[in-house]
Amino acid sequence: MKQRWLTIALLGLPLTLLACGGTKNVASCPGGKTSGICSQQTPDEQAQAKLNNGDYDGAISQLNDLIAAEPETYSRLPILAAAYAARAGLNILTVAKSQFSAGGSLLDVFAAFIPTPKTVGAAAYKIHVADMQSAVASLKRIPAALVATTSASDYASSATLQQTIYTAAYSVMFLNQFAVSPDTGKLDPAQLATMTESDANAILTNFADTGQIPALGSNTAVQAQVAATLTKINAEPGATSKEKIAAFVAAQKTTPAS
Amino acid sequence: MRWILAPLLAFCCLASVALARKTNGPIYEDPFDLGAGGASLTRASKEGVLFSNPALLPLGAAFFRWTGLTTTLLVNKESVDTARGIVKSAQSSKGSSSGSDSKTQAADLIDAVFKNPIHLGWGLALSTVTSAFGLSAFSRFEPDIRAKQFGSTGLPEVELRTESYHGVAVGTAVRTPLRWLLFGATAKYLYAGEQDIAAQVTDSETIASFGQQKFAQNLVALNKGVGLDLGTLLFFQGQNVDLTAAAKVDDLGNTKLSGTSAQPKQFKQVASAGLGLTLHSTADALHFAVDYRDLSNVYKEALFKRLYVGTKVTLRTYLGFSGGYYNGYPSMGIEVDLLLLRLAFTSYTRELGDHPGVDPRHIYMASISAGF
Repeated sequence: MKQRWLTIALLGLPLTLLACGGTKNVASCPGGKTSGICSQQTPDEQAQAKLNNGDYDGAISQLNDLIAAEPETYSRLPILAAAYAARAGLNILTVAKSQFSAGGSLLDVFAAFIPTPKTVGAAAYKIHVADMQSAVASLKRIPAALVATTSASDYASSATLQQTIYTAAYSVMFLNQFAVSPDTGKLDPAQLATMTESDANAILTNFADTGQIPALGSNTAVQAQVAATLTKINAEPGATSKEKIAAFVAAQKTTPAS
Repeated sequence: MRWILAPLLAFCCLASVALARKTNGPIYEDPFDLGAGGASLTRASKEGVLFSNPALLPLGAAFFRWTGLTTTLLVNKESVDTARGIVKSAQSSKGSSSGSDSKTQAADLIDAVFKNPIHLGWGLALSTVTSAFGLSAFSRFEPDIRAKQFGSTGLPEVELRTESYHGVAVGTAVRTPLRWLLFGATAKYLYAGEQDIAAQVTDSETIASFGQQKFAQNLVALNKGVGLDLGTLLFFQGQNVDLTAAAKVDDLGNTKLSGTSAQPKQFKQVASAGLGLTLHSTADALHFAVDYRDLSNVYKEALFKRLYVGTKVTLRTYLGFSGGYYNGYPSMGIEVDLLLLRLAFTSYTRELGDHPGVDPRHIYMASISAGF
C-alpha cells in the first residue's frame, strides 16, 4: 500500500508541474521585466509581431515612436509603410491571393485588392486614402541614396518595389475617391462633379510619380502599366486635366477590361 | 494580372544569416530526455549519455546498457494544424468543381502557410552503450520553413532553415578511486550543415540563382570536423536518495568545421553545470534535474534558453514519464519499454527567436527503438 502511494506521488509530481505550466513561457514575465529569467521582446520584435497579428494601429504607433527616437534608423520606414498600407486595406499577401481573380487594366487589377468607397463607405474611404498616402510618404523619407540601385542596404530593392506598388495604389485610390460610386462600387463619370481641377492635376501627378521611382526590374512591369494608364488619360479629348480624366473614366466604364 | 504578380510571387534575395542553430545543447538528444526539459547532464537515456555527459556511463548495475537502433520523427503542431485544415477544406468541397471553391481553397492555403511555420525532422542513432564505453552513429535533419506576411523589410518573406548533423561519437568513462567522482570523454567525428535562407519579394536578379546547381548544392552541403566533450560527475548515493552534480565542457577548444557549407564553421566551447536529485525505491525512481548551460554565455543567449529543468519518473523500468521546461516552455514525454522495443512520445517547444514568443516551434516527436 505504501509503495502504491509512492508510485502515485512519483507520477503526480511531473504532471502537476506541467499542468501548472500550461503553454506559456516562464520567461515571459509580466510588467516588462528583463532581469533574472525574464526576457521580453524588443520593441522592434513587438512591432513586427503586432503587424503580423493584424494589430496595425499598435504597430504604427510603436514604429512611429521608435522612428521618432531614432530618426536615422531608416530600416523601420519600409515596415511602417507596410503597416500604413495594410491599414489602408492593401497588403502584399492580399495581392498574392488576388492572382485567382481575372483582370487586365490598372484599375481592374487594383480593384481586386484595395477597398472601394462602397465596401468601406465614403467617409472611411478617405481615411484609407490618407493611410495609403502615409505609406508613400514614409518611404519617401528614406534618403534616395539608400534605395538607389547601387545601394547596399538590405531594404533597397524591397523599399523600391513597395514604393512603386503603394504609389500606384494611392494613385488609383485617389482617383476612385472621385470616380467610384459609393452606392454601386462602380466607375461613374457623374461622380466626378465634386472633383476640382486641382484634384485632377494631383491625380495625374500621382500617376507620374510612379514613373519617377528607380526601375529595378521587379517594379518595371507595374511602372509600365501606370505609364500606359497615364498615356491613355493624356490621349483623351479635353482641354483640362479634369475633362481628360472624365473622358478616361467614361471610356473605362464602357470598355470591358482587357 | 501577371505584370504585378510576377515580382511579388518571385521569392528571391538570398540572405545568409550567420545565426547558429546548435548552441549550448548536445548535438543529439534522446526524446525522453527532451521531454524532461532537456536537463540531461545528470541523467540521460540510452545513447543520449554519450552526448549529454559521458561521465554518466558507469552509473547503473548492468555492464551492457543499450544496443540498438533509435528512429525518431518530429513535426510541429502548426504543420499538423495546417494539414488538418487542408484535409477539412478538401473534404468540405468534395464533389464541387466550381472555380470559386478552388480559389477559396488556394487562398486559404496561402493564409495557412503564411500563419503557420512548418518544422519537420528525423533522427537516427545506431548505438551500443556499456558501463565503460559507448559508440553511436547518429544522423539528424530538421528543415524549417517560415513564411511571414510582413517580413523584416515589410514585404512577405519566406525563410528556409535547415539543421543537419551526422557523425560518430565514441565515449568512455572512468571511476576514480573516490567512487563518487567520475570522469568521461566523448570524441565526435561530425558532419554539420546549417542553412539559413531568407527569400523576399524583391530583386529579380537573385531569382536566377535559385535555378542554379550551386544553390541546390549549398542546401545539402556539410562541413566536417572532429570534436571532444569532457564531463565529470559527483555522485552521492544513499538508500533512497541520490545526489548528483555534473560539469561538462562541450567542444573543447572549439570544434572547427570545414567544407563547402556556409555554416557552421565551428561549435564554440561551452561549459555547463547541472544538479540532480533522485528519490528511488528498489524499482521506481523520481529524478529532478536542472542544467545551467553555457555558463560564460559564449553564444550570447538569454537565460531562459540556457536553463533546462525537468523531472523523470521511471516505474518498474518499463514505463517512464518526463516533464519539464525546455527554452522556458513546458515539455513532456512518455516512454514504454516492451523488452526489445521502446516507444517514446515527446512534446516540447523550441524557441528559435531570441526572446519568448518570437519564433516558437511546438514540436511533437515520436520515437521507436529496437534493441536491448
